[in-house]
Amino acid sequence: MSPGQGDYKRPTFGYTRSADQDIATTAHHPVIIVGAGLVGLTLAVDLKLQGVPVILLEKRDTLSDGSRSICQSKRTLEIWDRLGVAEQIVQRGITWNTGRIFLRDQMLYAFDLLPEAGHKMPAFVNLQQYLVEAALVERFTELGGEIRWRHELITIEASEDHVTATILTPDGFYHLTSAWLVSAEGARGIVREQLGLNYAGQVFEDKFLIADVKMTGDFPSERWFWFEPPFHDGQTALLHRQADDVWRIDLQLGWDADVKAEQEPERVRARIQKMLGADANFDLEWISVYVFQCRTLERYVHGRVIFMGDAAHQVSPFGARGGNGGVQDADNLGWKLKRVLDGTAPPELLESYSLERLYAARENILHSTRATDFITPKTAASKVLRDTVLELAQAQPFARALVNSGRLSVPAHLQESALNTADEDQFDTVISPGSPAPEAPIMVDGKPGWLLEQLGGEFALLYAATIEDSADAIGPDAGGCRLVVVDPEGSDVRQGELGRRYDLKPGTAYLFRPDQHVVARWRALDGSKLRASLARAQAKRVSEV
Amino acid sequence: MTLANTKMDFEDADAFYASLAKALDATQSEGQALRLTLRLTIILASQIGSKTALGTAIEIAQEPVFDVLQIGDNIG
Repeated sequence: MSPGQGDYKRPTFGYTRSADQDIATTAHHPVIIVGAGLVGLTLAVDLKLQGVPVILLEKRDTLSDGSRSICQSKRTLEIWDRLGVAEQIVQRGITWNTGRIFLRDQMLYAFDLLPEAGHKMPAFVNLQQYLVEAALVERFTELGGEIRWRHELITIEASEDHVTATILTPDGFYHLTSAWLVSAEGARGIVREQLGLNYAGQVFEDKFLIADVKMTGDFPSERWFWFEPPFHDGQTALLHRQADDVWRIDLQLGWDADVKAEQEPERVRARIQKMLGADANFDLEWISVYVFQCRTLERYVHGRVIFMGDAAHQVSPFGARGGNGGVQDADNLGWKLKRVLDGTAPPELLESYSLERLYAARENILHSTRATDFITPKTAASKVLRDTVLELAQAQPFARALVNSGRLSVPAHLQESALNTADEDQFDTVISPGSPAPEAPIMVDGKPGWLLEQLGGEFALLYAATIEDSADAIGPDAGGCRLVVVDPEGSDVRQGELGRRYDLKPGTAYLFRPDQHVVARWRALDGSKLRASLARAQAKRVSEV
Repeated sequence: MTLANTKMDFEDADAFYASLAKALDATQSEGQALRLTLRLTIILASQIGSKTALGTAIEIAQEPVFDVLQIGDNIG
């Protein structure tokens, strides 16, 4: 079977000898990232945009094989928008908001993941992982970033204030040291193995077949999921459209499937033909049989070594929480690493990365495990329950809430984070300190724009006040925050989504972290409150700001 | 764990389902699981006042594959 890139010609980047290999001493870098998948690349671009020198090591000399993580969520797209790559990904990919659930040949119900207007990004864009990686590689290179292709990390030695890495290249070994080393190597990484760290969680035995099929189908750009479809007795099936007329078909095989036999192209072809009909023309692009785990490390920061993405945690694919969770790890880590490296925040700030992302991973694992348990009931009793729920859901809307084909990725609300400042005032919103900032349209200099663009990647203050009032309240420098002032009597606040989603009233202020999570809010702001919240949000003592 | 001592979160459908599945697993009997499931379905249908749901639950209960269920055996 081909490596799964269809008509797309995967680039070969080739090995380049680094100047670090030709110096007599061991070169030192602030940050080394191991693994140039979509998570490692996202962090690399983020750090580069913040001016942090970063080296990205990759043992291959090309992009991922196979489409892999195809469903890029709204929050992931918002992060990539901040990094300057989302537009390309959205244009290249397939936008979708709607999912449909079928039982046998009947549709049970449809759902809309983004039923309201006023968002820049859609609920999801489907794009093959290698195309996302290509966009990120292009962006990182454009920013002057260095990816060391065919530089394979072999060993690490971690000390109190640095990490020493031994790297194998076609020219032989060399060493590097770094203040921080980030493992974005995936589940089988060498770093975790060398530190002797184990995952805790569940390994599932059910096997699933992924077939990427090239065809001109007349299915809409939606997520379709079948329980017990007529073309695949007693199992489940999932259909997603990707770019370039490639379709992802995911078929449950059961725990006792023969992995090798199930990947035989003729057997796969017969299964797909049964699904699409005898007259359907298609080409097989990529075949893979997978099992999965729902598990995590207990901590993501171990001395000078940091884990993210699949190297830190893994989930089942139902819900698209793997790649999206990893990109949100990178989003959470980038600004913290920058400040710790600068010495403007203490190393304790990185502990908040571990705690916050572990919380998010556990939430993802919980949803992922529940979806898996519904899709693949493990006992006769749970299958009775599952089947009863499916039967009822045909006629009864109340039972549809119990049908679980995967709860699709949404960002975690970090309400328990120690970086937050607790509310003192009343707000009529679904968000609170710790929540990811909801997007909203906003007028900027008389032109329509988006709130998240205005927040950017710094600490930012959204303030429903006049410029004069804000200067009086918090001083002209806004505590060093990017200041987004909105007219409290203007249409964005009075009639717009911005006013509704944030319950803005004259004098209301929201403080956002650089990863665009709400960290504090007030009905009336003063400089001392702002400075205290800024200190807390960076794990500093209040007197330090 | 049994249904009687299972703490159910009715606000969170997935948590509710998970706790129900866990309790049913403890029965170790497909027939008993079915009876409990249908009992719960009928209670839910009664609670929401849905005659259709009630009818559907009873229809499922009457399917011959579930011959272990004694229809009318105090399932309401």
